[in-house]
Amino acid sequence: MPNIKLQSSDGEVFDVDVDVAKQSITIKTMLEDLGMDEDDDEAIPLPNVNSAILGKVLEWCQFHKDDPPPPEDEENREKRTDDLCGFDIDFLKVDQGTLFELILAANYLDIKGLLDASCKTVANMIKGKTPEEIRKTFNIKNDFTPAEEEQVRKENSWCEEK
Amino acid sequence: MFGDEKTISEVNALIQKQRHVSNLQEVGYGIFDWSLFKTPSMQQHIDERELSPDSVDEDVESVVDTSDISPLACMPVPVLMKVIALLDAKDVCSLGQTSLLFHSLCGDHLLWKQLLNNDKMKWNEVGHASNPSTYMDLHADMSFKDIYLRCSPDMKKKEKFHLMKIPRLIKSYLPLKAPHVVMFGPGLDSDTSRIVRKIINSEDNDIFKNRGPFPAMFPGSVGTGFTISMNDEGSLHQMRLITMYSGTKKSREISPLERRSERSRLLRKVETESYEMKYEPTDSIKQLCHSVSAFICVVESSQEVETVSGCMEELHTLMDLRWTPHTSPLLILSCTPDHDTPRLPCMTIAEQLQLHKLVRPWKVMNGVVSDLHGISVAIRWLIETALGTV
Repeated sequence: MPNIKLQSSDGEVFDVDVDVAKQSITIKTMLEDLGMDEDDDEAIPLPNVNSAILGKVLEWCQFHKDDPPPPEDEENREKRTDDLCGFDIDFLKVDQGTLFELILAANYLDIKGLLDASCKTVANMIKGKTPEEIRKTFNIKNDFTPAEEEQVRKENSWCEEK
Repeated sequence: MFGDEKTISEVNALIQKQRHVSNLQEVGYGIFDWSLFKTPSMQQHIDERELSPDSVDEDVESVVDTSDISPLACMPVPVLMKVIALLDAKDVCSLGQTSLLFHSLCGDHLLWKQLLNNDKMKWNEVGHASNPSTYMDLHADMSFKDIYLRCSPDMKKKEKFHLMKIPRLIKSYLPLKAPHVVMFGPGLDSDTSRIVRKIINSEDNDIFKNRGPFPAMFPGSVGTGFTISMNDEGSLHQMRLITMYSGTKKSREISPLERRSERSRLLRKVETESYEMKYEPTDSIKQLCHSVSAFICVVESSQEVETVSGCMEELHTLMDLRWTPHTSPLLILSCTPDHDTPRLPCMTIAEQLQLHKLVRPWKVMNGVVSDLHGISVAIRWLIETALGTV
């Protein structure tokens, strides 16, 4: 199986199986468009991903390399967040900084499975919480004026009682 | 209101830089455009956290306000919308109350349209005041979020205190009104027909009590039935239940469900002034419709959609304002024989029966015949609406 080289923002070069790397649609497109899959020694630069995150992303890709391709049209399907596999749950048990870096990397590298799994993890962190609890969890600053806050509270007064 | 000029200028600067780089390098690099979503401030914030988790507190004053930056709020908008799309309506409301950014994202029109379209099929009731299509037709200025919050049974405000909630001891001294309620519909001809026997035979349930028959209201034993009292979670109600079958038990079993209007003994064919044939209730049924206070139409929701819509003509004929006052509420009991039978959503029943055309209070509510689950709540709504106590 041919390998390719990926270079992180801090200069570290990763030697990766093509099939593992191709889960990134960004990389797959690049390889196909630039014709780079033939024994090329040149490393593909990924200037937005540092080595720690790229290492994790590739670990995820390695585990999921035999997954069937994700279904295309998911727009109308029931959205679930409780269907993560055991590997993903453990894999995404990381600090928030790392989690959001992984999301950015998955988004940038266009890795649908990883992006889905990490977004679900974030959604699960929001679910069932009050606005104040959500602010606390994600360090969100309440930037409403008192008048706006009152207005917003009124808008949502329907949901207060469970 | 939500524009952040600093961020926008930062992004613009990044776009410029990006274009510059792209021009110099291979065209293939164009696909790296996502990089501009990663703002320098976030990078700094994260780097700082990773490198020196313990020294953050000391550094925080020298670095400009990094403690105020939420890594979540720094995500690109498409990613945030992806996360928000995974939440249910209540969580979207909660997140929208945290900050200006999330308030703007969580009010998204398409997001709520999708929530409404998906969730309304799961609601276990829909009524004249909670029918999304009514609001969409008549209130073009209402947002999907407003419609959702107004119509969803899961979003109802806590019920206001009203007379029916006063303690049983006091209430037992008050006279209990027993409105006349007519029960009809195709559900009385199918697998859910046991509902009448279930309600009348008080032995096998704790909710309904049969207080005995009352005499016919009109000649030809039209309008006879049983006085039923109902004890639902401590609140006591009474009704005079009149069942209107479209035929005798035997003929109901023989006849197919189609061409229901033609064989129904409740209706007769009349010629209109324009020589069209239309259905009307028989004279005694007209009289009955005029003098009762409320209606229950039993529909078996485990059947095909077509079978449900088969009773539309009968329903709208009986509910005609010429003989049935607009104040009489209509309850559509969407029943399945037992809990295991899959059912059509309330919303589908309401659409199939074209209930939006009715001018009276109406509700479609789910019920299960085997243990009368949901039926007392539904009948309570009907009685309270008929008596004007809601």
